[in-house]
Amino acid sequence: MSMVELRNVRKSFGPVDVIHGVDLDVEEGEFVVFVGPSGCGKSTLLRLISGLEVLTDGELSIDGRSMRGISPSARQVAMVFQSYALYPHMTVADNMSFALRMEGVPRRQRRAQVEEIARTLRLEDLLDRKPRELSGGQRQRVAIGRCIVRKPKVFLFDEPLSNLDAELRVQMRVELTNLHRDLGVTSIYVTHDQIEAMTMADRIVVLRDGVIEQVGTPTELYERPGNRFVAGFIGSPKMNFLSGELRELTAAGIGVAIDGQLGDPLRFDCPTDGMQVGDQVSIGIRPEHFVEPDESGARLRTTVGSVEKLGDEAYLYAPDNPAGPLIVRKQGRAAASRAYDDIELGLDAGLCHVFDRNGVAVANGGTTNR
Amino acid sequence: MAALVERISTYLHERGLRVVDIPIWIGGMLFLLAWASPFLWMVTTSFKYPEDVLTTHIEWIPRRVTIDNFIQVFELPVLRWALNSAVQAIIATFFCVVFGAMAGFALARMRFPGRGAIFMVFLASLMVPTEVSVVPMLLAFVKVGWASTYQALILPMIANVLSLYIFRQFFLSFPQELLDAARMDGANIMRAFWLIAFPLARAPAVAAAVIIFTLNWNNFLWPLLVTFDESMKTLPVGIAQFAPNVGTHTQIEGYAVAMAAITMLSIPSLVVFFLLQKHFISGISQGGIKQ
Repeated sequence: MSMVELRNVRKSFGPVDVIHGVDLDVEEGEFVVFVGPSGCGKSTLLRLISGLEVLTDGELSIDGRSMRGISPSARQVAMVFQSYALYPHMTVADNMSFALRMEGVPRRQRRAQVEEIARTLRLEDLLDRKPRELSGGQRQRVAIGRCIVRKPKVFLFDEPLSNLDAELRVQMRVELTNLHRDLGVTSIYVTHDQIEAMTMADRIVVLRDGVIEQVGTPTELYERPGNRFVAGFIGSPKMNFLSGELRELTAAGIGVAIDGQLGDPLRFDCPTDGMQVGDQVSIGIRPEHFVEPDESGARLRTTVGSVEKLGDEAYLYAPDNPAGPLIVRKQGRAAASRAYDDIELGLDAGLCHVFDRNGVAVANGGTTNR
Repeated sequence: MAALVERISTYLHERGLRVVDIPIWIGGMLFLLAWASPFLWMVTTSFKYPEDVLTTHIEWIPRRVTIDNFIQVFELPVLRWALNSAVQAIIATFFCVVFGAMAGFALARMRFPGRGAIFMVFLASLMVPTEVSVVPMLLAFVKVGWASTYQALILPMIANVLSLYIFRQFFLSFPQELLDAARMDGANIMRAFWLIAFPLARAPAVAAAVIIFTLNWNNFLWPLLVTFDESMKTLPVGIAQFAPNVGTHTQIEGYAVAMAAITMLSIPSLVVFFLLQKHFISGISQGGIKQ
């Protein structure tokens, strides 16, 4: 049985529809990340699960129980907010035990529970401090501790790392992942940062305009994006999209060529329903997926516009490429290219993606020529 | 001369000022003097002998001083009046702050039908002069037998739109996530208000308290109308007896005693203001600015 089930969940604010019928199952113990650009409805979806917002339509259940009319505190969920939302006038201990106080747990028992959790989060020396006397990372841990004290069935995280600096963010990412492993509590995590999503998630839910675009493991989304949006959103720097044309159509699949491509077309095994030779398509290649060119193979020639060197690797930017702007990652000695160099890039169909005119993925990885 | 200009310019520069600030500063000081001079005259006159009060040349600083005026003030039951004033002002201020915070919170953070209309009605009530409502109110209090009681002094003063407005403005910019967190922790709206929102509203509470306390402490018309016994008078009503009346002996002699009485009357308001000055200024300047 799923821990969290959403069935045709809809949410409108007045005349504005924000969530347009979402179906999702989150399994027990899973770490699911909602990711998407700002305004895609990911935070709203989280707030619907928490009970802070009320569903306009649809069904939501947690641990098999319908959440219709159930208050946020009775849902057995706990939430870490973006600003941590620690009560500034209360000490760390009071912050962490506030929910227990609301439940009517006696003071001594509250203190004991808080101390136990403070030990696991390395907060035991800070229990009598006020939130303003803590660093960003410590505040974050208090916010998490406040959730753990309630022994929830589901943790909800609303962009909890976005207020931290880059270094601390990496550190807290690891801490959160370890904590999830140790506690094993189902977690739903909202972020707009796809690196957080890729590194922390068991499964990622990609949202756009209140609709789920794709659900899958990080590897699935990286290797087999369902459409151009997901392909562009997952991976950094983002995937290159180059215009091309359908050149070959056989019973087994298609052959496409990027505008200005040299050598044979890129061949993919895929369903060919409704396709015709001459159709315009878009070919997606990740910056790290260009290969060494070989004489007869598929390849592209382009001029480097600028170079970003990052030590052992470099990003080459070719904004004037005729089939569409390009970003290429080069490593080792190949990273020595400079601006205005003419370069040749090898293409491996096995690492390319084809999207039709509507942006839907037709093929993810074709016949490799390696 | 050049050296003087040099010194002035260095002086200004060190304080981050410019030459154009000088006339603004002078203008400000003139305004300040205009505002402060009656107060200064009141304080100094309270220490003068009666015959030194109305002189051809104003004595800003008296040549000779006496505390007889203050002693004379105490010949009347001023302590009783002060007690009445204190009871009235403190209780009314307490309720104004509590009710103002509750209403301001509700109007700023809760969604309910007619919310905007209710706020407009409150604001509109500010435009009705007190004089319009005192007579029916007085008749009502007389009818229920509460004339010359603490109830009559306090009850009409326990709610104040100004206090509500100060709190509403504060709670409009109060972080929603704190209230969401309280809800997640199981606090209903009342507990969220009492345990989270209200303890964090110190700045507007101080601002409202200072203003409401001063208004009540100085309130004259209502206590004058509703108190018929000497023992229930408040300080402003009581010391009005010292006011110089045209054509009587008090016109000449009364000023010094009257000023001594008023000087004493103004002390509590000043003390409250100076003690809470820092919070007061941050409270009234807090509108759209989030701390």
